[in-house]
Amino acid sequence: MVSEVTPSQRVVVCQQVTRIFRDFWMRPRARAVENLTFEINRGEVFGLLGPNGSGKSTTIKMILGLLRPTRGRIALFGKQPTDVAVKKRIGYLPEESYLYPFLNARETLDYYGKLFNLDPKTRARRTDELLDMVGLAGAQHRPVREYSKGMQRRIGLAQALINDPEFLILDEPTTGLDPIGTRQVKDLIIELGRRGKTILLSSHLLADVEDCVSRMIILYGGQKREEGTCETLLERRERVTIESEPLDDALIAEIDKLIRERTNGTRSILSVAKPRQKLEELFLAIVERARAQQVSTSGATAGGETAAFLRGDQGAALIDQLVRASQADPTPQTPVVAAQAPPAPTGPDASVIDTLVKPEAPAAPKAQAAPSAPASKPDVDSSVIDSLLTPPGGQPGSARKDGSTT
Amino acid sequence: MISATFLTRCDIVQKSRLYKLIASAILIVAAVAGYFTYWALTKDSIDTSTPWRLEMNPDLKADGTPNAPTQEDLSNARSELERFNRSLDRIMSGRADYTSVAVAIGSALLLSLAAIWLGISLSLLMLLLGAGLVSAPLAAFESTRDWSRLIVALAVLGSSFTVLMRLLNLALSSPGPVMAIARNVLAEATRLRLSVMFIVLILFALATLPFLLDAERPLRYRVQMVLQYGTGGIFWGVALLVVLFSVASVATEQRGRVIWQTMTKPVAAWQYILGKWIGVVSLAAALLAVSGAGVFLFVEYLRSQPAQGEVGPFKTSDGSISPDRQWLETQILASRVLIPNTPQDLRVNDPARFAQAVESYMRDLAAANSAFNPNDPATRMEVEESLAKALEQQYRTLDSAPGMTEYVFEGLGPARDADLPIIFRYRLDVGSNRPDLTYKFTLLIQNYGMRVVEVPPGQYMTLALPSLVVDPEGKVRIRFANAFPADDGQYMINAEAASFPKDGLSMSFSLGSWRLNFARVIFVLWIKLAFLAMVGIFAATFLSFAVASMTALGVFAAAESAVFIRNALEVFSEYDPSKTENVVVLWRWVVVTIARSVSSIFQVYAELEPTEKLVEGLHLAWGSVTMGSAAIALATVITFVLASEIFRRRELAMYSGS
Repeated sequence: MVSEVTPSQRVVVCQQVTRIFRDFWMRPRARAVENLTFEINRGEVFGLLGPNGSGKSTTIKMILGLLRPTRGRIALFGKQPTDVAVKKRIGYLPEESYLYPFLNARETLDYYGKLFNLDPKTRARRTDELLDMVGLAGAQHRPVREYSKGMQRRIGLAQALINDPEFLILDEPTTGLDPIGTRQVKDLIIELGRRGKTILLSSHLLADVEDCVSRMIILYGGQKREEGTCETLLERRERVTIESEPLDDALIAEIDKLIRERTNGTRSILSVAKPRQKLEELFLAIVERARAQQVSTSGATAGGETAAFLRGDQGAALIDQLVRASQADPTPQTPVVAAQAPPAPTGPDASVIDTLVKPEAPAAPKAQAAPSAPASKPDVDSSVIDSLLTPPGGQPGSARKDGSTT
Repeated sequence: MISATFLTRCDIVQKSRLYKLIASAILIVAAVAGYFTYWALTKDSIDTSTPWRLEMNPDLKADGTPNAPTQEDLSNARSELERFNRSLDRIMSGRADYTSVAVAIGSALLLSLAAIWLGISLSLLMLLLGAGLVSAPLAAFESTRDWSRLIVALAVLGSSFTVLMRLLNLALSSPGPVMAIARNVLAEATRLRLSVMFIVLILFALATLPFLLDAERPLRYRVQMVLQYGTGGIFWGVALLVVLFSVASVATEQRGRVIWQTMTKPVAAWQYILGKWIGVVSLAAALLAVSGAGVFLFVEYLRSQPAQGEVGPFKTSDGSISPDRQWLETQILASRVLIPNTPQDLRVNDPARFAQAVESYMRDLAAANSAFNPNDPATRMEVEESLAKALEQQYRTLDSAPGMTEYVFEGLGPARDADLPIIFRYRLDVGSNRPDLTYKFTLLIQNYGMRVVEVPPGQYMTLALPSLVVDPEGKVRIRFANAFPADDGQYMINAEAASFPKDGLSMSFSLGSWRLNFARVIFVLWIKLAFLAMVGIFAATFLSFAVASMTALGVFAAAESAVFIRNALEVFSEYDPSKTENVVVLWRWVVVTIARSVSSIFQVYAELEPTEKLVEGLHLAWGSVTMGSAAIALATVITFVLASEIFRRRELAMYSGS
């Protein structure tokens, strides 16, 4: 794929990279990566997806210089992956937390901070902030070997951030984390992305990746199968989803009938269902209630907000500026920004929906479209609406009532 | 039981600046006062008389009578006698020596101050008090007294080691990859079971050393035993720890992939290797410092105990110097330059005469045996070797016959110039060396006179000589006769021949103090450990833990045994190829080639022999130390460069090919 960005904006460039593992007799044993070409640009949250054995971890190791490609070229900030100086700008969380078991959390962060030549004051401050952020402040003096897997992942994430890296590589970052931790990691990734960090995210948990990444590639058998943004890859053009306040069967039938009439019977409502709350949301709500009741726990705590040095010294105002700047930036935005706000309805005009709903029940604020959503011209004949509202003996249309939504 | 609140309060107190200042002041005052109090209490009890000094014969007068000495003769004799007396004073100087007390108090003071300013003084004090509480009841009973001392010794050694490790942590606390990795190694050493077990065993071995001594044995043997096991034995223990730990520190990080987290940070390969090496070497330094200080102070303590034949320290019943004390002070707790007596090799010094002797011998053999072929080169070589050996044996033998044999020692000029006493050491073997017999021999020493000595066969004897025995060329000539003057003035020849073994004739003089020699020995041991640490790290950069451990241990064994290998090769390589099967010849050639290479590579390392020199009281010269250390340092640097280059090229995501 030919990138239109300038070289200085390319963080990672992989060109025709192949990695073949050989046995003791130098016979080819496994072709982990084959002719892989992609780029990661500055400020992107880039997803590296694929099933087990597809070459994700091998690719990451080649980017980091832990392996050398058999063929092809990799450039990291325009330099060789083995360049020592370039590693000052990188943070890496491997798929497993490979930490010194005899060090405690504080010592671990202090050690890695020293590797970056951070002065003692900065090290101490960042250590405190990161421990608070990952919720390990209460367990910071316990040796890492006594930690659960989730706690080890948290401290692993903290060490990846100790140097406030420009480029963050996260290999299965949410493995072993509870939903709260997973949510926090995703929020952190989003926030770091908004701050202009470049992030390479590799994960099996596709729901987590989907929420965070702006662009991704999908590997299989060491080869790239797909590449693109979430919108281009995930958008289903053959379906439309409409969400509204509760509707009765008769009204649903009317809508179905309208659709059939307008499309000459080629389309109809495929299913009507009540949307389900995500299990993650339920879980978070339960935990929040428990916290509000101050129930004690000996594990990791929820963790605080993002560490100050990662957020920047100027605090929220700077983030706001960044957000505004990122919105003006033509580079693709993370879809999560859009996902945070109620989705603006597409297709039929929002006012049409309101008109449909209003006579049945008082209009609820939620039913309103997002305030920023631009008003678009209605494209439905008002006479049709009228006929729906006062059906002269018309029959309600058929609709699926299995609770599913399309 | 001590409550957590009490411990927390103690921790707060010991970390407060006010406490540190007050405690330091008290400690310094107590140390100085303690030293002077000890001096004041003991100085009066020290016997300052010098009964061993020799006096001039009062009958010798320059009265002008025939055979009377002149004034000049008397003056010279007086000055020589005074020089000799001074040499005896040196032997006895240990009875009033406060240096070791000062060293002990000074070391304790420094360690205590360090503990105070590190904020761990109260913790260590509680540890020592706890050990004291446990050992006190044990000290009340004879059968458990040794356990009591062992507990206290372990507590003191453990506390000293802890303070040194904390100091090292502080010294390595600056930011940067090298220091961070080095500090991490120290943390690993004190928290991983393998290394902790080794450290505990080493300290335990050191603490039990005094209990292995037999109080009935001569003091010099007990001191030698402490020096042998306290330095040599401990060195081997620390060396094993260094080799295995340096391998483990690198290999396990690669196997466990922990190294990924480090090497994806801005850490160069050479920084990683150097950091690991500094960490291991620092650990070795701490262990050597603790064991070295312990050995030194214990030897000084033993020195202040009565030797065999003494009724009190440095005191015999008749005022003389006991042989055990003399031996201890001049042979062991010394820094002697050893001048062995080497027989002249006629093949080198007088080849014509030697060739003549060979021809004559071969003619005799041919005359006696018609099958003997005098023109065969191999036969001639055999005859030359046999004749050379026979000449050497004859040189070392005192026949049961009239006459004296002269032995010359060269290189004693420095002793003459510095007016240093000379110790003549000799050993005579007679027959089967029966321990119940003694033999008398007559010695004629140049510029000194005649002495008749009665010696038990097979035992080393010493004789103290003044520097006047050395001639202006730096040589000393001694003649031996296998005879002694009888009561009737006639000379009685011993019925059996006597001979000197290869190391049975030597002269030595002390050049410097044993304390400085001891410090040089410890330094050389540390340099060796530094080399071994780098070998272990080098092996681990590209080998698995097991293979790297075996490789590094193999290098260690080869280095330590290089001198033995070289000596053994002299025998092993002596064979007649014409009388040996070809396959054996090939096998011997392979073994000799490999062994010779190994002994050559590690020649400098092995020839330093610091422990052997210390135990024998031999001087480890600054020149040897410098040259040897430089050679070993060079080998260490080369190994470091190789290790860094290999490590740089490694794909760290691969381990042992996987």
